[in-house]
Amino acid sequence: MQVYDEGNEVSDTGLVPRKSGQAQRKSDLAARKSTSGTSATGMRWAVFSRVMAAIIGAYVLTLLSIAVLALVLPMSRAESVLLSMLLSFLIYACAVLWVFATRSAWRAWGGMLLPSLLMAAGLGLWWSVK
Amino acid sequence: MKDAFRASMAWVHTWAGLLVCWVLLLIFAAGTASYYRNEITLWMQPELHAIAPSQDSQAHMAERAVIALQQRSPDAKQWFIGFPNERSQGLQIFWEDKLPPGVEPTRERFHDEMLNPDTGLPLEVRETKGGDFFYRLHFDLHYLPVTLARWIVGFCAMFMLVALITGVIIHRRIFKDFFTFRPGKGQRSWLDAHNITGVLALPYHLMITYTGLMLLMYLYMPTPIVVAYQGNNQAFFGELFREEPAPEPSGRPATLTSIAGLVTEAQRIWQGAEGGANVDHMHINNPNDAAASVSLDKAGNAGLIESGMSLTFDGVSGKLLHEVDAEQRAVVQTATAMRSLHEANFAQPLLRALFFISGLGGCLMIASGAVLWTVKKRQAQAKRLASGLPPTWGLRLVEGLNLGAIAGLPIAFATFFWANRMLPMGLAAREEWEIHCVFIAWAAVLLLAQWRPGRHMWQLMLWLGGLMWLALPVLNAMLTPQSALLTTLQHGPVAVAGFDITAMLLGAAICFAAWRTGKVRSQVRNPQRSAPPELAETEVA
Repeated sequence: MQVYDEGNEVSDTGLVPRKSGQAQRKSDLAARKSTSGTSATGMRWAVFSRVMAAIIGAYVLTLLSIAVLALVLPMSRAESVLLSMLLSFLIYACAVLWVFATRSAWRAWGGMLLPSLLMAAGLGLWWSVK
Repeated sequence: MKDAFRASMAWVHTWAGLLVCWVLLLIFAAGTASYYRNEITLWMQPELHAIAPSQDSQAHMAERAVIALQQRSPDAKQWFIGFPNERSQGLQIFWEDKLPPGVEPTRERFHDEMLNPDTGLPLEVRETKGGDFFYRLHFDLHYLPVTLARWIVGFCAMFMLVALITGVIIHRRIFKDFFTFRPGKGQRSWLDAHNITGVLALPYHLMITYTGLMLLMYLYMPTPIVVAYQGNNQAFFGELFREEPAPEPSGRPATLTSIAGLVTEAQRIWQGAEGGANVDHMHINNPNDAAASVSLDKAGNAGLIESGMSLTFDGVSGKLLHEVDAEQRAVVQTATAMRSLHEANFAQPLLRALFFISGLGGCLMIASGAVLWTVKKRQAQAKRLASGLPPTWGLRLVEGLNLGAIAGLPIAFATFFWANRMLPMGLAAREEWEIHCVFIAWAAVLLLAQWRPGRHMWQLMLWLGGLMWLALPVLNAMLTPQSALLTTLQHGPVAVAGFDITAMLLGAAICFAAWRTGKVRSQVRNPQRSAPPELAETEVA
């Protein structure tokens, strides 16, 4: 994977290469021919999993957080619904960035699903009380 | 650590951008054109060019509109009357058929017509969608079910937002890059072009993407309405816009009150309000029914925030039922301001032109980013290409798509205007055929681009697109002499003259790109590059 830094330098770095040097070198999917099939496949899955976490996981997280926001914001009903929807894309974008910035695909999924579960439980509780 | 973060952001930027860039280019180009939606419509209806703006009162116009609506559909579900304004000189009427219960509502139930505000007679104009084509294309695409299309557009817009944010993150020298352009240096030039077009109008790009998503957030982010309103969108919008739900028709016929009188009454109530006392548009629900109601919306926004002021009268007695005062709620004001920002409704001519130029800048940013990808890939595959092997299928596909989208869009859009002047007046479904022509032309370019995605094809297509735009004023002058540029420059409408001049400027810019494409080729015989390095300077859609 070629990345441009400093506006013009072409450097060779991969997606999320924090884990190990090996992962760093195997991380690019399209441009690199990998030497060992299995770990390349592994990397492919890791990237795919992360992409899914970003598209679906972060979306679910966003939908749940704005649902909670709409209920807790101290405004009239229409205004809190509107404000939470206005903020939704900001939340989504931040969640997506975090998914790609964090150390591993597992952490990415965890970061999306754990708060989602908590909020879903909270919403369920609110629903049953109401 | 920091580098790793930036590297992963660069990965996201590249792939999020590449995956949706062609659809995004279409969305951006159509949206940019939509800033001049009314002006485009006017250019495409040369029959209206000789009509002077009406000086008559809104009450008289309303009277004429009601007579026309009574003739066309006395038992409609609702009527709509849109008054002429600075950017649209016709009197618009619109009606919605009442459907028997159980009938699935389709778009067929809506009808609209343009009237001469001074006579109330229908304006005899050629059938065209005009600028509305671009407006709809911008978020409904075409040939697709509306909901599906809007999800596709939203998906692309979200990718755009992510690409913009990651683009900022991976830029260490965001300020310095502002002033850096190194032309004729292949990949660096492309990167600079991408940076300049991206950074220069960055606030615009972020604003337009976010507010664009916001316009359809009810579709994409429904959960707040689900939890707070049990999913009842109507209830939410009712509270948001402070509307009373329209009453159901009673089935008992009744005589409609004087609509002209209500217009006069509304203007009296709004006397002295910010932005004038005129009516923008009015709805008549259940006309000629005992449960008729009439609501009028005030025209004239003082600025970003629409007044939101409206009045609702009983349609039979003429009694004032409901008055909505100027919007005070901060969140709602924020939302309407964001909407205004996106649609540039508030923008005076100069600001509107800046929006248009920023939109073109967005097209350039997307196009140069897409080309940058292929230039880099060619470099990565230099050994392979030098040994005589063809580029990988991915690279070839992207090169073809880039050519088809970037050089094809100007051709497709120009075709729309050519078709408008050249299709016979009596052609059945004429307005649909204007649009079919756009997609036929575009499909042809896309196919040619996949067949031979090389520099020759770039040159050919850019010359073709550039000349088509350059020749538009000539075509206009030949087929509709009363609208020729020399005439409109002297006697107006200014918008028509402006269209012709803009078309020539765009055409000249594209021709320049085509010329540079050829020139660079003869200067640098570099087999590693097939895409034209200077294109991004001038590419327009």
